[in-house]
Amino acid sequence: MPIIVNLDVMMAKRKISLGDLAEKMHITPSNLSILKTGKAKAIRFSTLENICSILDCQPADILEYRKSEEPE
Amino acid sequence: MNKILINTLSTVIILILACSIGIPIVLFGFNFIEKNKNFTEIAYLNSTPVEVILSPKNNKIFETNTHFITSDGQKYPMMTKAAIIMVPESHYNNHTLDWVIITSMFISMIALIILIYYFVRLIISINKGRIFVRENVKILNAISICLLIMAFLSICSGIADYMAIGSLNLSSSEISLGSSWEFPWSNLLIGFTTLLIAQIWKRGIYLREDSELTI
Repeated sequence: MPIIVNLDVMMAKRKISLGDLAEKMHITPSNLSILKTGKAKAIRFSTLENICSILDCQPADILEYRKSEEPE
Repeated sequence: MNKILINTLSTVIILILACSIGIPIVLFGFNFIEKNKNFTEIAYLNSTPVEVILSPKNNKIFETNTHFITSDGQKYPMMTKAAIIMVPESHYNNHTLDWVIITSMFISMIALIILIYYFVRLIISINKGRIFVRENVKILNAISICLLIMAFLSICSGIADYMAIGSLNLSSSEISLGSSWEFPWSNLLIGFTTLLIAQIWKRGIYLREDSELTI
């Protein structure tokens, strides 16, 4: 998928575990894991705001667009 | 829609479907027994009952000398619309068409039993909270196929019935004979509607998966 979620990078920088972040965000660790592993199909603005607020970062630190390589 | 309402409606539907199997079987049994009784009327012996609808020719109204008499003695003129004509076996050569009709009825009954089975499975699945799952789409498709098969078989047996009555050459100057068969509008309508609902259900599954994977 062209949208890459770099949540694990930001979590490592802020030294916070998945469980702790999920607890602070009031969502289940399994849901956060879906986001972290890139299996999510969409993210709500409210969730993105919540993450940026807790991890003190910008949306661009969490989400990255990488053009998918076209087959030759 | 709460569970009690779903279960009540489902029970009513299953009872109606079960009666639609059971009642014809019982009636067929009674007819079979009646046919094999010792009739004193010679006309009934070695005859095949042919069920027909009577239509007056040339827009004539039936002249009737039959009356419906109530228990308090009131007389009302009565016109006959349907009848069973006892055709002698020697005159009746349509046993092939009879087999078409009987086979169609038999396969329809099997399709109806399968339909009831899938319907019960759907209700159990919904009661377990498994609503927008792929299994339910397969069940809905199976139900619609059963209904469409029953409609097709009904059309086949209707054509056979018309052919059988036509081949008897029972002509009359006043009455034309027709088949008592009716086009299976309801089976076709509900069959196609169920097929449509299955496609909508598939879309619902997609939306559910989308919703579950939106964080």
